[in-house]
Amino acid sequence: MSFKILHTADWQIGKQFGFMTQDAGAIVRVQRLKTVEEIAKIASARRVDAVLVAGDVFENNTLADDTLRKTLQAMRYFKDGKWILLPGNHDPASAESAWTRLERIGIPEHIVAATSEEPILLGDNGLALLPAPLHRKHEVRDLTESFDSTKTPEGAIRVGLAHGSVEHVLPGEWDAKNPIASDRASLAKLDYLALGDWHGTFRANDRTWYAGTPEPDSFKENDTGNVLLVTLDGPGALPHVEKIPVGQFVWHRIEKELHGAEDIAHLTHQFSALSEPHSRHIVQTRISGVLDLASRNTLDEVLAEWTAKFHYLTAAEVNLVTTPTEDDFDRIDLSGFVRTALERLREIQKDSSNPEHEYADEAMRRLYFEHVSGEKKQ
Amino acid sequence: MIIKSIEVRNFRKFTEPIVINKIDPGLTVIIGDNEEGKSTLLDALRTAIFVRYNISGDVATSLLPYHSAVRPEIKLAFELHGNDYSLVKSFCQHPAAELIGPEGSWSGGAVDDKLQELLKFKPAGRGAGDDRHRGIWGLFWVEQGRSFKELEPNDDSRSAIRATLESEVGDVLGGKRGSKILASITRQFERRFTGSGRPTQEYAKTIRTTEALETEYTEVKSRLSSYDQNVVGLEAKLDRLSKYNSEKTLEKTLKSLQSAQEKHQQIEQLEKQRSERVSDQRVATAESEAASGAWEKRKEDIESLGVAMTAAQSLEVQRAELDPSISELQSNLSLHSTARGKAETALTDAQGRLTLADQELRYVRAKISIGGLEDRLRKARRANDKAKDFQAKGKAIQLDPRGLATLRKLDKEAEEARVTLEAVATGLKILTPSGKTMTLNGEKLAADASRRITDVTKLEIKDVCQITVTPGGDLDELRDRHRKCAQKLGEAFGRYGLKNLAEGEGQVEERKTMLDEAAKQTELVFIHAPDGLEVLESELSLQEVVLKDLSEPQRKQLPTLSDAEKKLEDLQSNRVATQEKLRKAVSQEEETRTQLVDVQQKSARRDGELKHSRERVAQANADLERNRRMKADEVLKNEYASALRKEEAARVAAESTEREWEAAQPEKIQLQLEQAGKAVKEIQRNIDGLNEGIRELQTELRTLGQMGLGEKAEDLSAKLDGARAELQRVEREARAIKLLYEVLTQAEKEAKEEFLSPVTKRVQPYLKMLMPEAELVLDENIEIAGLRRGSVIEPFGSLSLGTREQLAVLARLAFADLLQEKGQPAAVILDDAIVYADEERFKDMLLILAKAAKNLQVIVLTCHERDYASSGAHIVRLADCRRFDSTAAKEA
Repeated sequence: MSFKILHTADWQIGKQFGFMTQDAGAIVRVQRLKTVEEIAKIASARRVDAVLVAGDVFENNTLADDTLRKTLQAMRYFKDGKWILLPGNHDPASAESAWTRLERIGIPEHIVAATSEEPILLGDNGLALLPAPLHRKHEVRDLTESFDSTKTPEGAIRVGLAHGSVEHVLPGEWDAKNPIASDRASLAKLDYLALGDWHGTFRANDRTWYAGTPEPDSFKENDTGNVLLVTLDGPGALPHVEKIPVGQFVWHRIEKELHGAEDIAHLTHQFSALSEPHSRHIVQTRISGVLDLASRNTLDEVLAEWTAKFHYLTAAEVNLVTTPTEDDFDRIDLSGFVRTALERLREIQKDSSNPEHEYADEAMRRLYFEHVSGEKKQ
Repeated sequence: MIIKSIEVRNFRKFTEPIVINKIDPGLTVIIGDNEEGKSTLLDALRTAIFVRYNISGDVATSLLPYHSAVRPEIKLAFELHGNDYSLVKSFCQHPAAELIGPEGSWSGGAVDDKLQELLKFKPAGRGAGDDRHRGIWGLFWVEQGRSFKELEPNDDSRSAIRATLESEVGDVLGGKRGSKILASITRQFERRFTGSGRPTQEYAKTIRTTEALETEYTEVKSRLSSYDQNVVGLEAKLDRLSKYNSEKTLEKTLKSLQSAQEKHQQIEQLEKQRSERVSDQRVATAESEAASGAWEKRKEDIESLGVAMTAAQSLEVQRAELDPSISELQSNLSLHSTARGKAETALTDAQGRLTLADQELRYVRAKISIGGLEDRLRKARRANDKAKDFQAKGKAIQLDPRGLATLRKLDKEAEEARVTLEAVATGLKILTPSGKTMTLNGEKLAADASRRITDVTKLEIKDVCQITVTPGGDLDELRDRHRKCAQKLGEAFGRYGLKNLAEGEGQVEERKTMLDEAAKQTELVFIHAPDGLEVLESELSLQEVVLKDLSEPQRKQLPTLSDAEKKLEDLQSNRVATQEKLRKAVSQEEETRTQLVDVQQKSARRDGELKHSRERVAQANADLERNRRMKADEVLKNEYASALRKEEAARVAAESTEREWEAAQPEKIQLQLEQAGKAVKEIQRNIDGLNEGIRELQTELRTLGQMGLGEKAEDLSAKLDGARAELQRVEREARAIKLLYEVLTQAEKEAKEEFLSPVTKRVQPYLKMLMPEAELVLDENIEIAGLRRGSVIEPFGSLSLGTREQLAVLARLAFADLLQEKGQPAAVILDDAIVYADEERFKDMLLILAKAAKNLQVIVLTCHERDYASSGAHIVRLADCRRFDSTAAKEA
């Protein structure tokens, strides 16, 4: 007997994006609920037997009831199968949690909060789901170890559902919290192990996958914004995993070293090269380098222009130095006290023992700007 | 420009022509009395250059002398850039103008145009115009009453000076663009900082916003953290509660309590038994102790009787031993008493002899003393009598040495008077013839006699003749003196009963001998009786009384003093030896008596003790016998043995019960019982507490959970990050603007100073002559800002009129110098421009004008001729310049 499940995780409903200007942040926040609606629609369209959410459904356990209700509301488009929601490190099933509150609010029967390790049997016992819910934020022991000894009906497909770090396979530094053995699928004779916590879509082995967050939420480079459609043809058969993109916003981090008008032009080109519509993009630029006053003025203009085009653009100046050239000087004034002032500012900028030297850069830019805007008026 | 000459006709005050030739290219002082028209002269100069020749209306009318319709005419010769120009302008009727220069001549309107070109000014659109329309001349030609005001240079002067300054120092000010930038940055600075450099409201708002967010965030975080703690607390409580349930803690504890209670009851039973046994044992012990006591008492009584008897016997022996020594001591004492009596008698005897010898010695001594005293008294009395006798004889002679001295003096005087008299007296040598008798004043003369005649003298040769001689000369006085002296001497001799002086001297000698002898005898008295006769007499009578008191010795012959003394000494030694013998006898007697008393007392004590001891023996014996009659010794002994046996049995029984009780561990059972009881209570209390705590926490958590604290916290955290970043940006921006503002203003200030430095440089040499410590401060509008003294700048407006006036002249001279150097020659005309200066300053100003006039043409118009007399300037008196001109006469 074949089963289809939709594997997703790390919705983190209620996550705030306050660092963005208010509107942009609010839109990104609301988008996460819209993406859940999208998942429900896909589940419905692809006629899956269940949607497994592998932890961190909620950003935390202290969300407003309204947010909880809105989440249930977003799931309304899929009613033909079960929603299995697993508590993760953001929303552990502690004594008082989002889950106890959901219970008090009242959830429909087809939505199941997997707050205990009791296997959930679906499809006339043909599909056995083994949940490993977190009861606190961090566990030092591997909760999936119990899968090894969990009995399921004879001939049932065994699918594990857990939230944590698979040992030694994830890119970057391994997080020792909430560990999961990398060979858990084979040890526990699981046909598929649906995992959450890692925000990118990631295949740990044939039977072990991270779905990743369906709506990207950070500038970290990984494969985000997908759900996994997993087809399980029978006990022991390899699962067929299909990656379906659902994310709305695309997050980028651009590191750029600028040394003149050409580099700025290249940056502009990089911006333009991002897919249309540009309003999908959330961009963080990290700029370093040395610019003269004129180029620096151009850069400010370019950033202002693209701030309007993208959903959100932030430019962090990391070691970006503005150095006026002789041309800058001449452009401002050939003589007169303004030029004297500019020369002094340059001296101050160079003199690291001067307590004001770190402000000299901006002072020069402002002076340049005053000059340029004065000229434009004329 | 150098003005060389000017002629004015029919112009305002000048109804008569004024011609001033040969105006000095340096300093010229034009003197005119009040109302004589020196200001009119300046007007005429201005009119010639700046007023169009064909002007009409009020301006034209104003050029005319009062109530006359004539043709004002002004001729001017000047030099410009080395070229000579001659200008003539006539106004009102038949206006005309002519200018002749090296490059040609002009007339009519062309003259005004050419003048504008040459002297660079923009004429007024209408009317005569004012300083604003007179180019740099507006600055340099100062009319009366304006000198102390600000310079107020017109645009032409300002731009001329500016252009000159820029040509020297460059465009340091940066023009309008620079000031626009500065104005904009100043606005930005002022938007962020107050005058005192504090953040403005707008800037502070960002700070407050961040602070408010921080507060809110902290509060939400703290509530969240309390939520988290409560969740942990709730879980812990639930865990503990479920442990109580799963481990059946309460049931187990209840069971232990029950078991402890049962054991405790057994212990209580044992406890009762134990206390009964202890009580039995106590009774047996008491009985045994009583029997033991009775038997011990009996044994003691028997023993005591024995001891008392022994003691009595011992005392009797000791008493008997004392008797022989008492009788021996008594016989000794009687012997010693006899010896003592003998010694006493011997001492009395020795004492008697000693007294007799002492009296004898004293009697001998008194006798010897009286003999000596009597001898001395006798000698003293004799000497005393002699002394009195001599004294009386001496005192009987009346003449003493002083009287003798007087006599001698009188005698000498009489002799002198006599000698003097005789020296002048008439000498008579008389030879009496034999047989004849001659008398002189009745005195019979020897045969050969010589006499000195000092008075009327009667010489008679008996029977022959009688001659009366009367000496002549001054003899009367001398004779009188001699008579008086002789009389005085005679009287003195008479007083002392003397015949002559030799007799007197004999008397005085005798007197002295008597008195000396008296003194010698008095000395002898003193030797025998130093304290006087009376003292000696009383001493003698005292000794006689002493002797009388002493009994006369029995012997017929008195011993010598030394024998008496020797005898006394021997008797004294004898008495000392006798005394010593007595002392020894007394001491022996006393010692023996003490020993006897001691032995007698001892014997009495022993008697008392013996009596007491015998009484005690009797008493003890009686008591023992009485007790034995009541209970015999054997009975007592048996009773004691029986009681001991009973006590031992009770002890064994009590110990057995005690062991049984200890084996049951009563304390442990008690502790177990208490512990189990407390544990049950405690567990029940814990369970109740947990249940209550769980209910409370659940209620609180539910309430908090609904508030969406997590979202709020996250939102606030991000907003706070944003606000902090914004604050950092705003602060950074503010610091940058502040820096920019400060650098710009400083640069501008320095630029201004630099820009004006050429003028400052030129004005300073003048100013140094006037106020050596001060510095003139100009602003970029070519205006005097003030005067710097040290670090203080006094604004121009607050300086005194005099100083203002002087500074304004200096500044003009400096500007003119500057322009002159840059090829724009400017003459300076001052119409009574130095009127407020004191004498010193005025002198300095004259020097300054003289210095300026080395490079510049300076024309001073004044009515104070005297003030300028010493200036060395070329002096022109307006009065001397009035001409009667034929042309003018004709026109008039």
